[in-house]
Amino acid sequence: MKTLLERWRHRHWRTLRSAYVDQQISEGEQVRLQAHLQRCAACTGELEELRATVALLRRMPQPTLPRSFLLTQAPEPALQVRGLGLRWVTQAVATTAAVALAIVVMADATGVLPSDAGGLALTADRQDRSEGPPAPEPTASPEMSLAADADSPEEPEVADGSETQAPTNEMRASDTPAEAETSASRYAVYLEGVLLALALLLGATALFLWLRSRWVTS
Amino acid sequence: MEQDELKLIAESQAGRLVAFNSLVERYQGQVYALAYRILGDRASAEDAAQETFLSAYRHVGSFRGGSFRSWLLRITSNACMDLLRSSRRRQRDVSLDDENTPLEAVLPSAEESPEEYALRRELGQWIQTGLARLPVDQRTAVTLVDMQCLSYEEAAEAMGSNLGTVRSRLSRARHALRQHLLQQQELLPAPFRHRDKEMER
Repeated sequence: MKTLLERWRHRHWRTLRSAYVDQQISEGEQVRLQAHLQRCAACTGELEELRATVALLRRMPQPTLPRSFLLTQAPEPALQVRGLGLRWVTQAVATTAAVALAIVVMADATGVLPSDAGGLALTADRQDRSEGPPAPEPTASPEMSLAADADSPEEPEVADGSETQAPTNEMRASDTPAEAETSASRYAVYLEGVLLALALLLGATALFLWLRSRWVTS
Repeated sequence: MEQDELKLIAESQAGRLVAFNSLVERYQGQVYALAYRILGDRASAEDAAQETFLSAYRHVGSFRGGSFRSWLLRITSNACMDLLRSSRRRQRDVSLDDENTPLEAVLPSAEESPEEYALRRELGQWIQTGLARLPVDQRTAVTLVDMQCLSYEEAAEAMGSNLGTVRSRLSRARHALRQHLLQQQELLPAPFRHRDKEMER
């Protein structure tokens, strides 16, 4: 009675034997297989039977063509072949999910969207505006305008920062910085949440489509 | 690739239907054969073959070189998958006594006796039954390599996978078909019958 391990190893050789019949085996694999065949009568016998099976299959005649498939006229251009379309959709959805996620991560890392981890730079910048001299602002502005380009242009926080110092002075004169921060940061948090939800939804859709295509082919 | 085939493809890409039909004539047998082996019945195979050539004509502009046969059979494989998805019962339609499955049309050859012809026809049907019992990926692999004599590289292209995948699918399919064939040894020509009972698993 063969042990389970012996059976598993025997199946391992099966793939090599099959590739060996077609000369689709590397030199190293061939050396290992031939060494094994010399001491394993069972594998040698199976190799012979495999060759016989392949030879028989190759002898089978092709199914007779029932009719001609010549095109009688040029077909109308189709919107999409369904099989190709599904793969395109899956890739498009996956790419969009990745881009949405990247936007969220980038915006968070550059501190454009205030959060516990990523809002520190923006908070420090505001402190500089209210307390210190205008000197830090030119340094901060290019960074924030860059972030503005990468992120949504509707972000009021960023828009304020990327303009000249005049709006900042207006902020000091009219609203308290705290009130402006609260409404703007709430908006930013919503936006971040929407982007994250979108990325998760699209990612899940891409995974579902991929799994579905694999399931059918199994 | 042959020069005249390159010319036909170029003309097809320019919209010349006559040139494309020359390609259809050249490959329709292989396209239909693959579809028949995968789907198991003539009507479905005809649908898949028709869809293959319609789609190939529409998308011939996207062919960028390499094996045209592999490119075409890839479209066939996809068309078969579409049909299988839309009608899942075909995957499980493996009844041995199914009278609705037509016997594969096989013509007698001059050298064989009527008995030999009958045996050969029945063997072809038995092999088709064995194919139908395989998962579709294994079925496609063994049809492409062992019945249509594609190389591993061409088969990988036709299946949209890599060499390692072709290798493992082919190995499993061959083993399963061998076990299946042994159930009806009397159909096998003498040289192909099971010789050693110790090999049985």
